[in-house]
Amino acid sequence: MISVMAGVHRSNAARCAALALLAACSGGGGGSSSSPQPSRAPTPAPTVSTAPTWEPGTYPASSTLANRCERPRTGVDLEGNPFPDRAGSLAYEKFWLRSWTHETYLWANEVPDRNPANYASPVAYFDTLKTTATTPSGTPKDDFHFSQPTEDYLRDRNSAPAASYGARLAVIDPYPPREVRVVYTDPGTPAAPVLARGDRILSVDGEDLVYGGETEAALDTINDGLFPRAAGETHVFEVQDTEGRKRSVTITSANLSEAPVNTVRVLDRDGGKVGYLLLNTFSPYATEAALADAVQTLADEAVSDLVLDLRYNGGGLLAIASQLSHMIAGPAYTRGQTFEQLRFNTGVGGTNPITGGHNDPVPFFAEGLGFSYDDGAVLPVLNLRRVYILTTEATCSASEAVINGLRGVDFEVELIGSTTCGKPYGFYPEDNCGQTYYTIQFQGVNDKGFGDYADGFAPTESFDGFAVSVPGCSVADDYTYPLGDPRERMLAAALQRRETGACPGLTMAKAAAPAWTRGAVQSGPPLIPRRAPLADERDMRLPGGRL
Amino acid sequence: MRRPVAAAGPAALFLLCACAGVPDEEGPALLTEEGVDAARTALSAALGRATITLGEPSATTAPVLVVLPPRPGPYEANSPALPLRFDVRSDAEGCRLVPEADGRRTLTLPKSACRPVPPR
Repeated sequence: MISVMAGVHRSNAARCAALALLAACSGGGGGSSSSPQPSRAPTPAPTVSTAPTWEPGTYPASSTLANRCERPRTGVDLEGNPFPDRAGSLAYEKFWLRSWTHETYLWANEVPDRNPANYASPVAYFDTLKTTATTPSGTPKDDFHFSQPTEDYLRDRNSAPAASYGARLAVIDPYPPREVRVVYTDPGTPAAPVLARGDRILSVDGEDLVYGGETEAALDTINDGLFPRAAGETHVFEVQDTEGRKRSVTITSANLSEAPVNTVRVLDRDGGKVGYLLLNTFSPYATEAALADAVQTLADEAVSDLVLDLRYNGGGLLAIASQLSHMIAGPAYTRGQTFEQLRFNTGVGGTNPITGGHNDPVPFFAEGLGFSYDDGAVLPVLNLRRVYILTTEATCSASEAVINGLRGVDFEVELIGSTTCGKPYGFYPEDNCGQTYYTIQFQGVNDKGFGDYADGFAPTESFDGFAVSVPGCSVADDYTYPLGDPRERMLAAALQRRETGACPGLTMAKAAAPAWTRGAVQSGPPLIPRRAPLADERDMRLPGGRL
Repeated sequence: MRRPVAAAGPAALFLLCACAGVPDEEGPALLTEEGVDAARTALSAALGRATITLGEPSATTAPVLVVLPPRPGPYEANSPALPLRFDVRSDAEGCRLVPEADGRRTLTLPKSACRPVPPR
């Protein structure tokens, strides 16, 4: 059923997004949605008439410096939008970075005002425009600061579906003896019938993956096979299953989009039915409908508990994370509550400095938003009292927002696994003169105003003294059994926790540590995955190497 | 006085921002197939996007038009992007896309872009 008017749970945040359109209607310029436009139809802003000069502590409006380029682009970008560039200089580009950082960077007051003239390029200057503070664990507070050519940014975000086999691979050890294993396969893909979780890849097109790759050409053979460039490529792999049996498989790549919901299962257990939901991303718009369908399936089965497997989920859309949280907890917990509030730098008050709109909280959305599930259609709910969430260091961003958002309304969350990545931050990528910059601009906080989990969330039983402690069990990932199999170590621990209140022994957590964490000697050329948005475990990692 | 939607090229044919109060007698409507095309053109100009991707449901079957945000890039793991929602309404003067956030300022399409909601 479609509601004609906004539903009762429809948010101010949605209205905020619509307000951005009205800004365009009134000629106000600025962003046209809650996500910025990499190349907006240009609305020329007043420009400074002379090359900018450095006056410490004085920051011209970034709008007066934007798109004044040393090498202006002409024509349209990959999405058909005209480039907004005008003649300028490297000085303009660096001064734009300086003012934009001052206006929007979350920790702008921790950035020293350095003279842009002392830096050879905008990118070199940008690298300095961040805080050098550290988290309690000693890691950099801002480990998410980077840029990339805008052409790459646009290509990446428009590349789905991409050539793949439909298998996610983990490069557990890139050095000989190399270890590459199958993490999971997506249902209905070329990999699904021939590869299984835990399979170790021994060779690619006859090239020894474990000890070979001594030449550049040999490494290329391995990479080309693991990460196909185009649909229709056929490669031959020798693989070894978790019981040591070897076999040869031939797979042809296809253009695929990652399946957000990989597995939905109902487990009959003592004390009632337990739902298991493996959700690997919040990014594709198809996630919204896939999640609603999955939750409806679990609701139809009247599950009394849920194990939500986010161990490989690097995040995506906060709105869908909000919807999932509502579908788990139900209106008794979520009605009228805040899922997440975006906290910007201290200088912007109640305004979102990127969109220019009100910084309204993200509610727990109780209805479809139109990504792929009908706008205004009521979402199914499970009305549970607790959720067991399976986590690893790959559990990041919007996935962590689920944990934090639910805890913010006193919904019981149990973590089973290991410490999450610790990214309560976000950004709106911004193009200037052909380079897209990512600078942390907001921190998400829950209904209680909490969002300080830069060192991640960890089960209470873990030894991670810096992460935010959440009730649960410390358990390592387990490639021995398929995901969703009650014997699989993390799921088994969740079921045990549910049924007995106890955790399995900690020795289990150390048994499956990847080779490189055990201090393996690294010799020989490393295997460096070239690109595999669907097929390797690096798809949500930042270029800096951190999730 | 409010300013009209900034129009560009052929899109200007469809862009007559009402910038006035919505008449009381207006009612929900559906878009025709041609109306969807007109809406895309109007929205492209208003939003400054070459490509307009529509969400669910289809405005040909429900009196609502959902415009999806640009797809987040692979590193946007905490994306606050949301669709834009418009009510589709018609009145004596034309076919209107009314932003959810503010019912007063609308995008106006040719009257032929709308058709009545069929009785249930």
